[in-house]
Amino acid sequence: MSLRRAIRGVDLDTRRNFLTGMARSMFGVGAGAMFGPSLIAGALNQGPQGSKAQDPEPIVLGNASAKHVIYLFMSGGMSHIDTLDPKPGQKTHGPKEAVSTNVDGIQLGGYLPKTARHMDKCCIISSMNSTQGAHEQAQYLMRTSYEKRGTIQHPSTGAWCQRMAGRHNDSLPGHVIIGGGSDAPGAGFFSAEFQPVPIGNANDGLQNVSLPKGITESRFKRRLEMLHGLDKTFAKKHQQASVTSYSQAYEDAVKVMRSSDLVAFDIGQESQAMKDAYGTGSFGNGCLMARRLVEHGVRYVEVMSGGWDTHSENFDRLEDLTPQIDQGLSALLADLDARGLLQDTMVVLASEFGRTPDIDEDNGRNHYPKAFSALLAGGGVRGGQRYGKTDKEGREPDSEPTSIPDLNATIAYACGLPTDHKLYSPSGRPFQVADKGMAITEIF
Amino acid sequence: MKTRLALCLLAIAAPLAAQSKKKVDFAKEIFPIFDRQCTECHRATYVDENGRRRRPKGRVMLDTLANIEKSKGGKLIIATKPDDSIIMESIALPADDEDRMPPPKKGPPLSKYQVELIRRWIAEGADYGKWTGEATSKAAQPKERSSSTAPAKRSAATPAANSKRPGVSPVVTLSKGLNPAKAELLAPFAAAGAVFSVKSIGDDSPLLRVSACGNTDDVDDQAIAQLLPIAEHIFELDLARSRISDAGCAVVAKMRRLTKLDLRQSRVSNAGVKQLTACKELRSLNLFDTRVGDYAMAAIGELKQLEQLYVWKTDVSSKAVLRLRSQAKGLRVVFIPDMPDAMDDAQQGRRGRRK
Repeated sequence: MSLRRAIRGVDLDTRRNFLTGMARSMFGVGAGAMFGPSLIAGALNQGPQGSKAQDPEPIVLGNASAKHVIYLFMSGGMSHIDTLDPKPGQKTHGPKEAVSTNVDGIQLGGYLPKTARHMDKCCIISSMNSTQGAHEQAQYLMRTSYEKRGTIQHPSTGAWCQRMAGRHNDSLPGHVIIGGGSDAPGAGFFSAEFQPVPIGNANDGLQNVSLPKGITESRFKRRLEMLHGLDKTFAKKHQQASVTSYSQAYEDAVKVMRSSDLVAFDIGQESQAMKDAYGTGSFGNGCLMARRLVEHGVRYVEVMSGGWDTHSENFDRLEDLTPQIDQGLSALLADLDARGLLQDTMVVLASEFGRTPDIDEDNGRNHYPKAFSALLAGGGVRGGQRYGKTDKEGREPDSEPTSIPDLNATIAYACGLPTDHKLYSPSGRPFQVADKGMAITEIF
Repeated sequence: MKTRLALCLLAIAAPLAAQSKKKVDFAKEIFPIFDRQCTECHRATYVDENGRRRRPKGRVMLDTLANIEKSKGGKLIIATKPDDSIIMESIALPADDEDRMPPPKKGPPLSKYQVELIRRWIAEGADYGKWTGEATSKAAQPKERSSSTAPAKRSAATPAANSKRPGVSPVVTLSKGLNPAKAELLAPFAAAGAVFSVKSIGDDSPLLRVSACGNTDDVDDQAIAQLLPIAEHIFELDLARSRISDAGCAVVAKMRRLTKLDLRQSRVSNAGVKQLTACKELRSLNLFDTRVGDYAMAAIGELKQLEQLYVWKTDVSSKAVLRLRSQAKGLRVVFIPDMPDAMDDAQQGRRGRRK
């Protein structure tokens, strides 16, 4: 909806629409929002630091090696044998030859030659193992560590990080999802302020953050003051946590609008050479934005990539899909490392399950959760290693089977979150950041 | 004949009588029973040789003290009350009862003597003595196939520090003899509007990690003086994107235990880095996008513990980088990123099926 149209009218309704639209695009907050006047007033009076009383008390922040997480998600079930766990010489391998990497003894699928030059930074968990073979359930499990239930919405790992560890930079959101996934589990049963900010297209950046033409800062401030005045009585009558947290989202929105760190969302600031190095498709742009966000202190950034459900013509489709991933991932690793950020940033490349070792008549591979792979780099992880192995043909884990909660526990461990700490849902049930997952501490 | 019989009986009875006066020793008498006949199924979750995760049956664990107390809400063994203890119910069932423990399928029931021993032990107060079951019990070594050298997974409530070089971690060596900073020195950093965030590195360690709280613009040469009272405790310092310049480095130089310093995109230059050579424990130094040059590189050579140095987008020349690399073999100098070549047109054209 056009900002100009929204602002042009002077009446109350349009102002609300403006702020709702702004908040929705920035914080995924739905329509029908309520306003917390005292907090918006707080945003008016205070600078970018904002009101500390609203920040959740960090639970424990142990010796966290990962200040940031960049989570690259290959939605649809990325074929593991063709990418991270090649089986050269076996009948399950596929037509493309594996490539050697800059680590002796470790090969990658032939679709990832650029990433192969950075294998010394990566740890591949080859022995992922799950029982979830359906997209929706498996993706939910991957995001939240819990099985999908009708009765409750679980928070995603990113939301747990925000909830338990807080933000590095108060004037930017702490959790951003780029390239889709705004309908995926976000804050779950945590309050609305832990909802991630969705960025549809990295090229377009963050929407609705600048004031429209004709609205000066003082005019904007006057409007917020009017809003505050009108909503004072409502807030007094309804002093609830949900009102407060929705207001927190608005307060955060205003803070972001004023932040000089807003440039983090603008990949136009980068040189063409840098953009080319990442790849100018949506995934490459997403990785570039992720690097910028992490540079400016955002804790958890997710970049989504779709189309990996290659039931037919698996190899042709991988030829189309993998160049962007290979480009973006290798650029990200090189760039983060050179900025001294890789030691503080855990990069994850994951998919909800793998694909069948056996190739079917359609030249495709089908869903296969029994064995698949995930890649971790940075954030304290020792690179140049494989954790766990599958058997000769890539059918089952031979050693160190790792469940999806174990993977998430490893991410939480890197971020310094205690994996056994329980937080309670509104109905009083206890949950943990990675359910019963156990962190793989020996890869650090 | 009768006398001999009587004497024999006496001989048998006497030790028995003596035995009944001594308290049952858990470690010597009770645990071997658990170990041989119970813990195959009743032990903490482990991974078997087929790679499958095995959970304790009936959620009852008999392998360590902690686990016993956790089982059945503490009602498995209730000291002095054998008749209320759930374990007694199960082991005393008739041999052919389905619910008898060990299950009929698994083996013969515990002998009457064993059941009585356990009952007596509980009646006497269920004293475990020094036994905790952590290190020596067979059950603590899972029966998994170790085809790789990696040890079994363990969960960690708080992660431990990892040193890149072999040898003792600096967390250990630098915490020696260091008392935690006084509460009143740390209090200003917990208040609203504080410029710095100061946290222990974990496990109530006296070592601290400091970073900017929110706006890095507020972190300047004046503000950094706030860290002087706790300088001795600072282990990691994040001044990235701040306004710290060479003047502020004088304060940083006082941090004798500093191992990781992030000055990325700050206003530090050669003179500042020269002062930083006082931080002898530095392992990681990030100078990305600052105005340091070759003069600083020469000074950095004095930091003998340094493992990682980031000097991309600085005024440092490649010659200085090569010189430093040859002098300090254990030091990784990151100078230019190894960025991939741009995708060729054919790859660009293949958009693939994207969302």
